[in-house]
Amino acid sequence: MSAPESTPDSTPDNAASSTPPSAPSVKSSDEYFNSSRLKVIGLITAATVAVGALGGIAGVAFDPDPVPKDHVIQPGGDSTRLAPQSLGSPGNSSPRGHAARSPFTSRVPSSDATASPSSVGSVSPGSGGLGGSSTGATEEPTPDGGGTPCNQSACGALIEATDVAIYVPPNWTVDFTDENRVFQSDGNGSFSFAFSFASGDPATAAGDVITQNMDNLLPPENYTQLQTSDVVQLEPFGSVVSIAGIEYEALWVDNQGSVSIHGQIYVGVRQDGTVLGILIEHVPAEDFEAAFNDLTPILDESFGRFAGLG
Amino acid sequence: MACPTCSSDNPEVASFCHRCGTSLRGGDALRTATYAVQSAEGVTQLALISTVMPHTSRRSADNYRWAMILSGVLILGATVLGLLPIAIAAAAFLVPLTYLVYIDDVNLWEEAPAAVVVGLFVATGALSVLVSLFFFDWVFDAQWAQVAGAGPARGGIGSMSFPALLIFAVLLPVIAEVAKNVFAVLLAARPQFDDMIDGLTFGVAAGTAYAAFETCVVYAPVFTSQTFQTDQGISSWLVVVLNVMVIKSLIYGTATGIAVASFSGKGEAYDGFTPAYFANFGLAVGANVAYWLGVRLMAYLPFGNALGLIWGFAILAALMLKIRMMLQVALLEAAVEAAAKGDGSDDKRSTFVETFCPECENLLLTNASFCIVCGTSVRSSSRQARSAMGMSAVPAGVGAAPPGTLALPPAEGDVTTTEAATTHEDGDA
Repeated sequence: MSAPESTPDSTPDNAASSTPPSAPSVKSSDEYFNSSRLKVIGLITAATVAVGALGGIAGVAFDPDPVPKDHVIQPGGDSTRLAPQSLGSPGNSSPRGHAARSPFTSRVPSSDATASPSSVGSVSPGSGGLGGSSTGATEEPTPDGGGTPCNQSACGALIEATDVAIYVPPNWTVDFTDENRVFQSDGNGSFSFAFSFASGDPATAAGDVITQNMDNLLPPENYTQLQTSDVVQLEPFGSVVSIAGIEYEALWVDNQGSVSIHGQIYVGVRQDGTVLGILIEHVPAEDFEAAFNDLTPILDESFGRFAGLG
Repeated sequence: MACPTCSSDNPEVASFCHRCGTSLRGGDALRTATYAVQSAEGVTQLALISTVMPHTSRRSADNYRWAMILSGVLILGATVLGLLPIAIAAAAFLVPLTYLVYIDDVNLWEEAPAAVVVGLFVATGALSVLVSLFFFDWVFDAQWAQVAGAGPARGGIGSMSFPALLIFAVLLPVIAEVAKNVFAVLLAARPQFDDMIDGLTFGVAAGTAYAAFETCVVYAPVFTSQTFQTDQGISSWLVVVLNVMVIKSLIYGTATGIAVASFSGKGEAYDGFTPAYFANFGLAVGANVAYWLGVRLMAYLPFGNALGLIWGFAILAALMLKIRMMLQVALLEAAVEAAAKGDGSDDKRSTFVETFCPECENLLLTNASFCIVCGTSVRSSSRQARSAMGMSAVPAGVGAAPPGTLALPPAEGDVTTTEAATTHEDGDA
């Protein structure tokens, strides 16, 4: 019952002599296919390489103009955009700093986030219950799209652990908040993530908090091809004794797709040792400049209040 | 020997009934251990090639296996080197390209290669691009950005956008499944492609083509990234490339294959839009929804991408088993029904002339639907093999011999079937 190895050409002589021409000849199974083994493997491999080459050509041909990483501003009132030369040149500069890991490192529960998030759901502008007034140096955010006009004194979300108020612009939605974090978005590709904790050490360097928490804020599993500016030390103001910022661009990826993403991270340390960090981000990266003016009030208002200026 | 199922006469040496495929060698009358498409495998064996390329033989399946392994290694090599545009493009199209070669190899397109290629790959690909642009770029781009903006460190699953989840894990798979079915169903409705295995093949081809073009759209930022080569996030990209290359492509393909195969139905002519088709269409949608829901929710867990890959593999395994059981049942049931209706002389899906089994190269009886030695269904043979069996070249019912005998076409010489068989056996010896 085993399969014979014969081919039409190898039909035994005795069979050929006694079998009429119309009798079936033993066919190798290979004859029932158009292509040989070598041809199949060669065709598929060559076609794969060719398509890969096309992808490579597309990768070279469609390179966009780089988005400059000179948007880091001085939060807290005047929104001064720092001169580009005050930044390190854009590139793959690695986060630096050798300070002890800050408490925030363990407080951003990247792996425990799903355990018991205390989401408050959707908080509309005006329902945050933030007390205090805003810094006078910042322009009043303008509601757009027919949304409910926002009174700055009533737009915000509170980080309970430190009683730090995070400004929520009109038409933005708070997607998540817990005792240390506030995540909000505008539904048009802009996001802001704020965190705060008490370090207990006013000597904590803001820049070190940034560098120590880069992997938490921008998980390498999703934020690939990360390019950062150098950490920029900003001018302390009010009760803020240390403040720093960094700008970045990355290719966010997961199993369903990828997007280019551009953002900034600011961290301030107050004289009582309280730390406030705010990340602003926009998708896609090339639209960051256009969205930037809508993002800066979050920095100005929140850091202004954090510094006691509001 | 009379078959206990269909009462057809079989040679005493037969291991399987040539008409209905029933095992005649005790213990496994239901043939759960022998897959009718490729008898060397069990029905529940997770063998990819024979599942999605049912017209291959055991030997030709090896060709595709090695081709895919070689190409896969090259693609993963490009990923490790950080050449992401090359890796993503090649990974997206590996399975569709393999399928195109397969369709040519088994001559599935017969006289209509343009219709098959254009209908399955180009038209389905164009639909895929439109649907993908509609969802990811034109209409729901903000919701897609919302998916990227939230994350494990930013509130975890609590920061997840529920509307975005519904759009990209529920609504999109439903629309996409319709798009995948359109052209495959049109082809399966053509008379020369109305076999269930053809329907399956067209469904798989359409599904994988859709996946490839969708991948190009959703990973477009890879091609427009400022860095052509990267050394960052390679481990993440390895997972993503594996997902794109194998899991996503084959989930799309097998799910659509199941739906279109049920459109074809198990018997003569295609069944059309029957309740069975809609049930299997629902299954295909359900598999895609389950896949993307799992991917989206697991993204909030540590190693979320890798977990999503494993989840996808589980879905794919279930779909493969579904296909194998579906084909097994269909091939056996259709053969029993055909045997009950007559002697097979009018059955266009059984052999018309004596020939040899493409799988084991032993003699196939006339009017046979299965090889009596290995039990492989002749319906899973390549088009060339079926032509050699007289299944399409000779009108059904003309000159057919009594079942269970070896009938040679009219010939100059005359030789008894016993002599022919003896001659062949001698040749084997």
